[in-house]
Amino acid sequence: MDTLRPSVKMLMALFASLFVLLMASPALAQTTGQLRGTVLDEFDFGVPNVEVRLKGSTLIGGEQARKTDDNGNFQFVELPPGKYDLTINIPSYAPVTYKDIQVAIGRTATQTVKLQPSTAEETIEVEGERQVVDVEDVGRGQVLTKEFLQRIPTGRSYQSAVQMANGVVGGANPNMGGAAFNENTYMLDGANITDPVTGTFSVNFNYDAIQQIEVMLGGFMPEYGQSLGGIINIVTDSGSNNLEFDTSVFYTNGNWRYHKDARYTADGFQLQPTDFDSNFQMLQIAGKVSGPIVRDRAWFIVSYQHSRTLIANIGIPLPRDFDGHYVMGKITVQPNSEHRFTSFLQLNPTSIDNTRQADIFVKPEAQARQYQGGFVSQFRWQWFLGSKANLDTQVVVQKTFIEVGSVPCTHNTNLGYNPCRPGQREGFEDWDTPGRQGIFGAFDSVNLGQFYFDNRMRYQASSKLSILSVEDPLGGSHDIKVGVEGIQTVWDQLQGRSGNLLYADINAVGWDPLSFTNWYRWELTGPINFRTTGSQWNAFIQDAWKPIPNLVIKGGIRYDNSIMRNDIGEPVFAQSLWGPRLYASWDPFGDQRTKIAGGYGRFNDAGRLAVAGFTSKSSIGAKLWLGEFQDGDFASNQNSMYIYQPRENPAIAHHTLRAPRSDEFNLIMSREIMKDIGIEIQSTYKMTRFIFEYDERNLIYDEDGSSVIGSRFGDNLVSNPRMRTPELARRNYVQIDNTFYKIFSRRWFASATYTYSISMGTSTQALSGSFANSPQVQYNYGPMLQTDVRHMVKAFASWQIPTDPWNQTIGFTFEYYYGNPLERFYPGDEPPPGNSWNMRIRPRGPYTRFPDEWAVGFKFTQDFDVRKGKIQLDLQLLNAFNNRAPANFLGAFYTENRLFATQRQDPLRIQLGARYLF
Amino acid sequence: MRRSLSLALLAPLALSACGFNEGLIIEDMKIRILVPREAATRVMPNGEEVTDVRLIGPVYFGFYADVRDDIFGYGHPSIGPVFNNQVGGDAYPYGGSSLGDIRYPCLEFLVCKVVSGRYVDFDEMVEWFGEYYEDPIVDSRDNEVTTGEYIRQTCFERMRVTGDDEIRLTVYEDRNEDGKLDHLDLDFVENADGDFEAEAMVWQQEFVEGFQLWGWMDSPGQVTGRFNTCNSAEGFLDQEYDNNFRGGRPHRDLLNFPSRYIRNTDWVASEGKEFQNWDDEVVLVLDHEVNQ
Repeated sequence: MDTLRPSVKMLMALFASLFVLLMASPALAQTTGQLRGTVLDEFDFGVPNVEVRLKGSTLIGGEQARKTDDNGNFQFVELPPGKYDLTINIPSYAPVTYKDIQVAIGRTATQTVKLQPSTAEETIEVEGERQVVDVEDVGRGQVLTKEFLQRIPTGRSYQSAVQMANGVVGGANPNMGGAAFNENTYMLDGANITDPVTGTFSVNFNYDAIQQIEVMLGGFMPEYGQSLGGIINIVTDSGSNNLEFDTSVFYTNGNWRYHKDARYTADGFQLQPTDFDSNFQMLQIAGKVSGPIVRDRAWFIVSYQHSRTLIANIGIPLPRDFDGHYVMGKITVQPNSEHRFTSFLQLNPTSIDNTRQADIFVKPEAQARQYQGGFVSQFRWQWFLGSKANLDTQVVVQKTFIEVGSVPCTHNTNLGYNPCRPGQREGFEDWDTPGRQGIFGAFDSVNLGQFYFDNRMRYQASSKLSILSVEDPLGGSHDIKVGVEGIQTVWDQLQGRSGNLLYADINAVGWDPLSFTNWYRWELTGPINFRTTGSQWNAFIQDAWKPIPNLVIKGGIRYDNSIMRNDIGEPVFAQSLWGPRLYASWDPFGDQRTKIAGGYGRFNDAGRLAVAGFTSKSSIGAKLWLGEFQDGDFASNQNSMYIYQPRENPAIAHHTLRAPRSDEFNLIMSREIMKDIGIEIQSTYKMTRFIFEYDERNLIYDEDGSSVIGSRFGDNLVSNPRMRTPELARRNYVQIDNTFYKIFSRRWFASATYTYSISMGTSTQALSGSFANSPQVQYNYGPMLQTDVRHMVKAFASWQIPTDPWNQTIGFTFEYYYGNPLERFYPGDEPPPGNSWNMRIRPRGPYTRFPDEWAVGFKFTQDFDVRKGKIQLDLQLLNAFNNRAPANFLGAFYTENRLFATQRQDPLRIQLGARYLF
Repeated sequence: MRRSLSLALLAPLALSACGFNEGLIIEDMKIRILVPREAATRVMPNGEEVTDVRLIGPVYFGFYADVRDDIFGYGHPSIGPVFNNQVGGDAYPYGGSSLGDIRYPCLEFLVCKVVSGRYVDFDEMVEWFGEYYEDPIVDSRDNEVTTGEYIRQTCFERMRVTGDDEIRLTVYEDRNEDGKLDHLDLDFVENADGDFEAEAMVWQQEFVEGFQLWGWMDSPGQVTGRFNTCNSAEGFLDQEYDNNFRGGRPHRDLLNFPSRYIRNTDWVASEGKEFQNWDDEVVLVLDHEVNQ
């Protein structure tokens, strides 16, 4: 291949790209960073044509070398994130090595090499430049490095770690960049692993195998798309030339904490619901082995994590039993300097028993098991076409599944789980016996009575060609990237009721189980099985143009094409979308210490299978028969049948559905105010339009939306929803982050950010039913969105105490959130009770806000060096002061004029861990 | 030159697709309703002839394909097939709303007898039934209610609210912005001709060119003041101590089967008002008293 001319190679690369385009679809996220620098002599002139060598523990293929150009500049690209040593050794100058230069995902590290005349042969070791301001980065967001993940107190999951990023609000599926929780994109080693149906995360992952997490909130280039919110880009470890072993155990027990606000009656009922407060245990066992198969040529990593959590709501006798196994394997092979191959497999089978924790009226045999998991498999080929061009191609297959059914029975009576009846084998799951559903204080009994099997597949292939440092005859250079990607998604669902029957029972005398009697019975038409599919392809071209040394202009455009089809193959949603982006970053003083950056970008939501699923024709039909409570006789004749529900889904989609989109304007100003310390102001204004919504197309309401007074399509009084993307379904969002930070040096790092945000609009989230209550409910123009936090503070710090040879590390976090707004709701008259709400036309606006929420985290790690490797003990306190601000409220709040908390912020969690590494 | 060209190429892309029309005209349609003075005038059970907005019951209006006067002897939307000789077929409205809502009135005595937007305060309810109907309001123990404040406090207690704006039976906002809450802030306000006019809104109405606005007013019963369009067997369930009653709510098919509910002394629009554009300024006149 070395004999081929570069132009021929480039041609071959283009053909390879086209081949991949024909094959399939997208996963174009960056998983690497780059290093640029200049070699200067003692007079600060650039030194041309000298060799610069780079090595790092995460860099497979061995040491890399580059020659400086005429101005003394050099560049290393496609570097796996990690720490690197840069060495230059030329006659008449002292050999020098710059140590521990941090390269992060999607970032450009810089290093200026200053040569000093000397005849000495001993290499001078200098600490590498730690970049306080990345003057070429135009995006909003941050990179969470391995040091961060290990030293800062967070839950041991990527979902928890991401919470510490600026402007991120919410739980495991957070609100990012002013968007809803289901408008983010999740990437794992360059593969899009966002749930193809819901738009949420789909994979639980081995925490210790994470190398870095890039949290992007805005300003991302066209290579990223299909996200109106943020992007969580996870890059995993790949191993190294050293055989490394890492095993750990972490445990926490809810009883270790004090129960700050739980109050009980004499019979054990809780007076003030305090969410998960009574029973919580978590055990995590993890192991990781990595190392060389062939030094510098082939590396492997195998990682396993077992997560077991028992967690029960107050008063619920059975804990929700989460039992997850996360297995990851990855092989990276670089046979020569031109080709790198990576093969990756992740599995995460998980069973969750006793998932029904909402109230105590569920007998063990009516509990549910959710079995979930799937796999992500990836094959990736990186072809380095010389030092200035490369082709990155990958094929990814992902499966996510959820299976919900009755919890398997057990003969082990100690646990109190669903007991097996005599003769039943251990683990028997009953799919035939109809369940009995208790209403108004009666117990759910006999069996869960329903099942649901859900498979979600994503097939994707992508290819990206990068051509770097292309000289512009008019000045400067270009970094050009072109990519193409294809995705096929499939959603299979099977749902039904055990025995095709469902009984609804009631206590004829309130709270007296002895008066238990049947209220009604549903006869169902039987299980349904249907498939929804989506096809997408996209392409992008982007350029980073550096016309002068202190200015970078980044621009490009992305094209997304998507079709979502419902279960009978109708195209529900078909789009061709253009997403232009244009940004610039200016270093006004040219000293790499100041940045003024900003620009505009359009981001499109190319849709998801939930959109097509909404209009799928399949639905379970049913007949309702009145039961003993109402003197029904279950006689199968027309006269005693109370309601007939046809086997069809009345939902439709408006024929001009279009893709939701965001137009975003960013402005970023950063400055290194003293060595290793910087300040940064990031601001964004984002307009999101055409959010997926649905309205009712048949019901006509009275003046204030309380009561139905007519129907548009005959006298059918069951709401027939219609999905739309009206211009009115929108959000406007402003976020300003003010950050004061110190990067990691001299054993410590710290950051504090105050965020001010306003979110105004009509739609809190995509695919919401917020328009479905009644047309009389005016669109919500108030500050009502979950991202309307207004004031938020996030701070963290870590210090490695200098007590060599034993290291002690302390970490600290502080989070503060101003309360979310709440508007007052009132019950409507539509049956069943509590099923309809109206916000009434007046008064509008926030009635109140959630109480402010704040939490402090603390972490202490003690290292002990042993003969081989080291042992690490770990103590972590999350929410150390056990604050329990309400996080959600009972609907009754809206009618009873008081806050009635049903969920509170996570309580104090004390976690102990032990770890052994060599 | 080349730099300028590349920027010039990007600019139109950045500006593209700034406008989009879903092709579905869904608008908040504002209309005016005129009720003639005669419709708000009546000889009350106490023998006194009064003209009062409290005699204007809930007004229901909708958008229909057309309006004819040869079906029931008064203006009425065209109807679908007649399956039952006693009632007409479905009128298939495109949409609609009401002006003045029947809603939970806090005392069983008042169920189906009061409508929103007609009373300045609760004292007017006490006066209306006590003096004009000579049928004083009583509470759950059959004790006569003599003050509006009693009704108000009962509402606060039962509905667990703290403001008149949440009960929404009486005036709670200064609509004409004159600094006081009075009769000029009710739904219907007397105009210079002595008729009563009101402004109404149909929220998020899907517009169909040529559809016609039609409506009718449910007049209160001569003796009790009850409204015929109210279903006292449904609505908010008040179930506390010695109270156990439904608060009443409108029937669910008022706009589909108007003729089921229109009775003598109700007032209807004798003709529909056609819309060519969603923002046409249309006044619906309830000009015909049903008397069959």
